[in-house]
Amino acid sequence: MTVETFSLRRAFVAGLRRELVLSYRHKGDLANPLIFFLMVVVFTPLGISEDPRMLAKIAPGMLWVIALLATLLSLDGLFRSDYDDGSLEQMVLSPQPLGLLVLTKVFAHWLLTGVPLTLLAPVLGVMLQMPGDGYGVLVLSLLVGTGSLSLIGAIGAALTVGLRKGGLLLSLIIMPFYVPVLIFGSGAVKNAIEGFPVGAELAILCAMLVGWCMFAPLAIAGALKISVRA
Amino acid sequence: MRWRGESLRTPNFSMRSELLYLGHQAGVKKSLTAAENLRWFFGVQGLSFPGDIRSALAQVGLAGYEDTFCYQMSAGQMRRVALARLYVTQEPVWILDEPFTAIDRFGVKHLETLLQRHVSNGGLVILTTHQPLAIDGVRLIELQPFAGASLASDELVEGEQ
Repeated sequence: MTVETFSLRRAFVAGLRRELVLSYRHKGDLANPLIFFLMVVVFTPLGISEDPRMLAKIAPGMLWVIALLATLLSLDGLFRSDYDDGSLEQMVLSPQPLGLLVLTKVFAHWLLTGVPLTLLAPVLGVMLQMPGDGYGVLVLSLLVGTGSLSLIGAIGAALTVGLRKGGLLLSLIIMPFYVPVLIFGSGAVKNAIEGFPVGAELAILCAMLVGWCMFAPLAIAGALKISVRA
Repeated sequence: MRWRGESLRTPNFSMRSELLYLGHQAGVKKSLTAAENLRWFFGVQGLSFPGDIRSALAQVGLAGYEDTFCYQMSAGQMRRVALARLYVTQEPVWILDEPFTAIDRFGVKHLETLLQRHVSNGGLVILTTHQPLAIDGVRLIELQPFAGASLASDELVEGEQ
């Protein structure tokens, strides 16, 4: 038995593998946001109007709003089970920086929620008669935007993990931070459909993602330390 | 409180890398297998599993349970999965919150031997328990006098280096 060196990369890989294995074994949780996304889009023409022009007009905003709510739906349990079974304590006490360990979890969350939503969105766009010019930008904006949504949501989830009924509070905390992501995300898709340039919106979405990538791990780690200590 | 001359208020990398903590909730995920849980305990610290998982689990009487999901195990077996870390770990400081919970008489004896060995190798153990311990050289702090109307007596036991 030799003394081993600690490796940040190994901690990241171990965390990511664990998250992926866990969600593979809870496939139902994985499908939940996607089915929600699908359901709302299927119900929209039935509930609002079957007029293709009307649907085409609301499609970009609808898709973005539903994707945002679907992400929100999946956030409550992000740290819950780790908190309940004590593995969060192990993470907090690990010599590795907690910010990195939680970034692993958030990355896995984006991989298993944000990416599937992004891939599903164009299919649902067809159902909403979205014009062809918008699809590329829809996928691109969602891919970048859902990253920000996962990071912001994780801050809220970390703050409320110690509370028994944190769901409502979680939504209230993160809603204001979701607004800019939604505005620029759906704005980009609308611009693309109307033939305007979309570079600015996409650049702002990317900038938001970079900013949250730097700031969110610190905030999540701080919030989790408070929750575990309480 | 200080550890190696540095304040514990701001725990740094070297302090944390010397600490093994086993809480009341042991950190065992029910939908992972025993081997996956054990690997993660070390992975989360940035280590790969030092030694053989099979023999570590055999030490706590779970030989052949490597690929058993923890939701199929009893409370005691899950607890023992977490305790299996102690047989391969290299951290000198162990903080254990009621390690004997849900462990049978034979297991308690086995664990006491392990703690004794760890301390005689220069390690340090801080643990809480409801049971009397059969280990030499422990410093015992009865919490009953401080507990007011508490029902059970907790003991704090410490093996010095």
